[in-house]
Amino acid sequence: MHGIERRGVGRRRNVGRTGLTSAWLLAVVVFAGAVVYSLGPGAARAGASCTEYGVFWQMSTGGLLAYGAKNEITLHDQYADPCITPDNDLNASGQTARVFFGVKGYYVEAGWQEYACSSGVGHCFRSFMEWAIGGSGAQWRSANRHKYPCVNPGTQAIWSVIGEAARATSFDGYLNCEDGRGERYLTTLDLYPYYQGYGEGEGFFREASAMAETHQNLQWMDSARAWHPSLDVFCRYDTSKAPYNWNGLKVSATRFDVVQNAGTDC
Amino acid sequence: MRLPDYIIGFGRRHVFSSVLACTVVVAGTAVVLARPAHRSSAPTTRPAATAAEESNSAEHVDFDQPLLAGRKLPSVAEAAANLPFRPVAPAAAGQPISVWIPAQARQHLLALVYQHPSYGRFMVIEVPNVGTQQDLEGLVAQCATGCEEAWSLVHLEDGSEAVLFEGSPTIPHETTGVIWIHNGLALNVLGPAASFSRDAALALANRFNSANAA
Repeated sequence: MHGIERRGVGRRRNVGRTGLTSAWLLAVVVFAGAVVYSLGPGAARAGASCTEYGVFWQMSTGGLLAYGAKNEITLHDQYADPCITPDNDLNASGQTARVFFGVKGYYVEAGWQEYACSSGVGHCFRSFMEWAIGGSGAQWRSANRHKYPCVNPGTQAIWSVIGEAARATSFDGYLNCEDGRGERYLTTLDLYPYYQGYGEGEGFFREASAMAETHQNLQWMDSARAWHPSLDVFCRYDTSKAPYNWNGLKVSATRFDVVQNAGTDC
Repeated sequence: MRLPDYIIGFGRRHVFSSVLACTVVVAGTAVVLARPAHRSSAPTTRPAATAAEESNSAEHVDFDQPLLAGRKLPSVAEAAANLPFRPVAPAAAGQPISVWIPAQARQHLLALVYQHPSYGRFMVIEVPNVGTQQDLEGLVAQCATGCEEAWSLVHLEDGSEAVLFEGSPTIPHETTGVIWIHNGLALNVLGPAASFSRDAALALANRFNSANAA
């Protein structure tokens, strides 16, 4: 009887062992899956942001204020961010020439940006201008290939923002494709009551996208509308910290490169 | 009735093992929840952000140190001595917690940062007016096709027209504020949209608009 009972209990214990083994296996699988998920490709899932980061380098002017800025900027395909989609139409990466008005979050800029093509296939580029008062305003964008033919990977072009002579708080944007056809007008933005500040170059990206580019032949415009080469360049503001750590690298008084894990942070 | 030892032993091991298994599962879940958000770039596993959730700028307003290389001064009176205009700083708004002018003396600009018991943190920027009422209204006109914040024309209590911009409280770094022209100055009161309302912005704009220059 005891034997039978014991065998019976024994069988139940064996069933229990099997159940416990299965539970352990399940737990281990869940744990391992969680670790793999956490450290692996799924790490940036729910809760991840699509934050834009930027590197801002400023031109030295010998103490004078700038009313316009002009940068010759390279363009490469550097889009690698899954948070950018045709639907959200966010920019993945880009570069600008800009005038910063001295108050953080107050600026006007013109340049290029990379984004997800509306077809859902491939990477697209467009010219844009942006204004901000109080940290945000709006972007004007154009993907018109006929009008702005040089916004393509492997090219460089001169981007500028210029305060108008007759209406100081209005800024015109231009793109010079360096194809002998001169400045191509982008648009005009109202920045009232701001009209003077500091000439800058900016590189921006989101998360996994890159922004290795060159800003050269940096120039700023004085109050008499004369252009001057930058006397020096320096890091003004940099939100790209580890693990991305994009910085500017001074190459000359009129050139800085946007590089990763090198250059000067600030 | 006392249960046989092997049954008691089995029960203890069962409970112990079950607790351990649950602990492993809970730990695994915790690892997932605590994982760094930026580790990966796998294109197919990450949900897309919507444009409405993300700021389109890497540079934001700083309500602690608002200016690039700004000079922090001890008082509005001290700022007045360094500016070509008389600052507006009504007593009704309280005392600013910091007073800033640009390090570069050629730029004529004043930033007053406040921490108000009712309105919280806000800032007022004052510059000489170089434009027209039409230029001011142009800010709203260029938002006809869409801006990150909602821009509109409003009237202050004295009937003057001002521009109101209202940020979303849920989008990081957006601001709410008012811009208007007052006695040869262009004034801009603003605060973080998360804590500074349209009503607060308008109430303060009216206080500054009705104040005399210092």
